[in-house]
Amino acid sequence: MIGKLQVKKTIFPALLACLLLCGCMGQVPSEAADFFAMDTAMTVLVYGEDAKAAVSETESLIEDLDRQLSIFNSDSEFYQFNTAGQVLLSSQNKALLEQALELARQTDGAFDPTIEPVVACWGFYGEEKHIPEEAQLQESLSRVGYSHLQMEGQLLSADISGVKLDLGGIAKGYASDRAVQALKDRGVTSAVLSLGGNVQVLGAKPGGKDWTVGITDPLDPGGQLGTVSVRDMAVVTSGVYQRYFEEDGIRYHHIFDAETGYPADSGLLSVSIVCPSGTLADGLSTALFVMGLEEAAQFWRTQPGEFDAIFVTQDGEIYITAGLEGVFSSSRSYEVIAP
Amino acid sequence: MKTRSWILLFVLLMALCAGVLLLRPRPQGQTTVCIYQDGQLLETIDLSQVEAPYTIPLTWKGSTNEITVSPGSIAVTWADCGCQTCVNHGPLQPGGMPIICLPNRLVIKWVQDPVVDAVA
Repeated sequence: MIGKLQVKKTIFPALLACLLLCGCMGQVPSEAADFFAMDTAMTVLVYGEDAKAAVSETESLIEDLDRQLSIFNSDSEFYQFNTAGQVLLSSQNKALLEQALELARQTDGAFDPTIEPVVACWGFYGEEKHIPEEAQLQESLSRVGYSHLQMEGQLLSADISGVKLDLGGIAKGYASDRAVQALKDRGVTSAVLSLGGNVQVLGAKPGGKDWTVGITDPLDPGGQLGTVSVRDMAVVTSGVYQRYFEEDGIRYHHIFDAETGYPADSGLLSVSIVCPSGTLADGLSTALFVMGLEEAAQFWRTQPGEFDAIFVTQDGEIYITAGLEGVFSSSRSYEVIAP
Repeated sequence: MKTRSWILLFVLLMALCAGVLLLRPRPQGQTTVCIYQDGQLLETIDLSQVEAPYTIPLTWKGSTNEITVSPGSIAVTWADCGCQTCVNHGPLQPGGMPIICLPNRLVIKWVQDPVVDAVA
């Protein structure tokens, strides 16, 4: 009798502990989807019991936003503005455009949502990218400038004809912000979205560790120059390797300077932005690339705590802003930009 | 009786530990890549099991990518797309961007990247 009691008192708790151990070692359910939208390859990975439905909803949301923001979809308000010169914007699109215009003002036009005529002139909307005739480029450039846009209530118009919008500089970041918010509303606490070069993570990894996000090496785009460890954060890179063509040994990339109408020649190869907002990270990665290292560093100093950045110069040197110390790791040497 | 109980307990614990070790989720896919076209999974290849190089021609809407699979390595080695970004990407690297051919909607990526959760 005593022996049986001992067996019950020792073996059963031990068995229970082992079963709990087995349970703890089980994986959190997850679901992933790979798809194309916004002219790029996207991956959404969601953890949790509701992952399958959440991934499906996220994919649908991003595809809806693609149609809503596309300048090639005749149903979109931005297409209608580009063809008719004016349009009544929905509240959602108006709010997004106001965000774009605020960013344009803050960066003094380094980010400009009216860059479309220049991008079209270089053929970056199609397969036939080319160096444009100078006269054609100057004509296109004359129609660029966010200050030409006028908003009266919901009515968007411009003070000269031929002004066109392209919100592609913030569309993917906006989509990841909206998707993350929708996931939060569903109760999801752990997810990672990779929309082209735009990454946005929700919460931490299952188990509580930070997400590890690689930063593409612009000199070897198949590899990475380092990683950042983040949670609830967007990480967005703009670089010369993403879209370009070469002619006579010169690379012409897709990040245009609205001052010159040419691909920005700022001494940088890539800029990665780390901040909680995907929209801001997306717009700033373009703007700071156009600014160049010195001006971008000064801009960062005027926005304490808003974002951090990783810069790679044409010499292959890496600079990070001070907020990324302890967050960024790399086997290569790098310099820290002080506040 | 007490000794027999402890022996029984020991044997059961050993059996359970062995079960946990055998059945626990293992890190899978760290050498395995997936080939997707237009979001559809076409092929899964464990690069550690590849013994000799071979090529996979993939045609999509009249355009072609040629993928070369070697022991431990995969790359797009030829494409008739205009940008050649997929060819210039070189071999798929741990911790690096997936190989993407936007015109032909082709993606080659690790099932589970051994280094990072995503790449920006």
